Amino acid sequence: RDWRSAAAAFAARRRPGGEGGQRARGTMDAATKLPDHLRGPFLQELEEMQIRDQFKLNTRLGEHCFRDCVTTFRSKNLAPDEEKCIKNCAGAFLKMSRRVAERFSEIQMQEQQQQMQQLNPQ
Amino acid sequence: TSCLSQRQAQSDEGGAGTATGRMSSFGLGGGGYRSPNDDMQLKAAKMEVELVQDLFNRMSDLCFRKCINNKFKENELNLGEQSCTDRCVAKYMATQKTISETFQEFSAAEQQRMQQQGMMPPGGAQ
Repeated sequence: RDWRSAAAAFAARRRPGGEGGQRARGTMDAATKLPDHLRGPFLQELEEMQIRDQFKLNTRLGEHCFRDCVTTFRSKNLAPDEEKCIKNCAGAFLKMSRRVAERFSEIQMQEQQQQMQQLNPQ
Repeated sequence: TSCLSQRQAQSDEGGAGTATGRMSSFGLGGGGYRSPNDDMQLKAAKMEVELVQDLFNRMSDLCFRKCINNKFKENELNLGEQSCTDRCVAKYMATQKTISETFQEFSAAEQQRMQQQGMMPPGGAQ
């Protein structure tokens, strides 16, 4: 409905904790590989990309929860059980997404360590 | 914690963007001139981030479809959904790794084949 407040809410959720923080961990590797004078512009672009990604999350969630929760079209308005279903769907997806981010960064760190061991076989 | 370090880096690079950045961008004001090599590096970093984002998003979508299906009567993930999610992530990453390796082998073989074909006389089979 009010996309501006939704945008602000998502931008606020990007701050410490939650999936935004954990995905940022993976992308910081790309930043550390850059020379110093490029890191500033890169981080600016990165912030833009993260905001865009949050918006995409918004629409992906809408699609998932619509597909799973809205099954009949007897009326224009959402039935109360459909509303509840959608709220629970969104909550479950976001919690799952946080868990996916945790496992993802664990696996990435493992792979990094493996790569470093391969490069320095001491 | 990672977002804190990201913000710190941003404030640090604000300084680098002015003094050091100006020095290495040949004196044309912060972020003015960038050599083609710089542009390439920036683009490569951007594409790497896009790759990670895309991977993460697809993995989330697929694991949601495969693991979370309680008709949304509760707002919490039960234990089965939690372990399904963990395994889904592990298998998805392993799938991606296998595909990258297969793709690399395939491109190496393709390159070899095209090199051999390049040595054939013109007018040969394409």
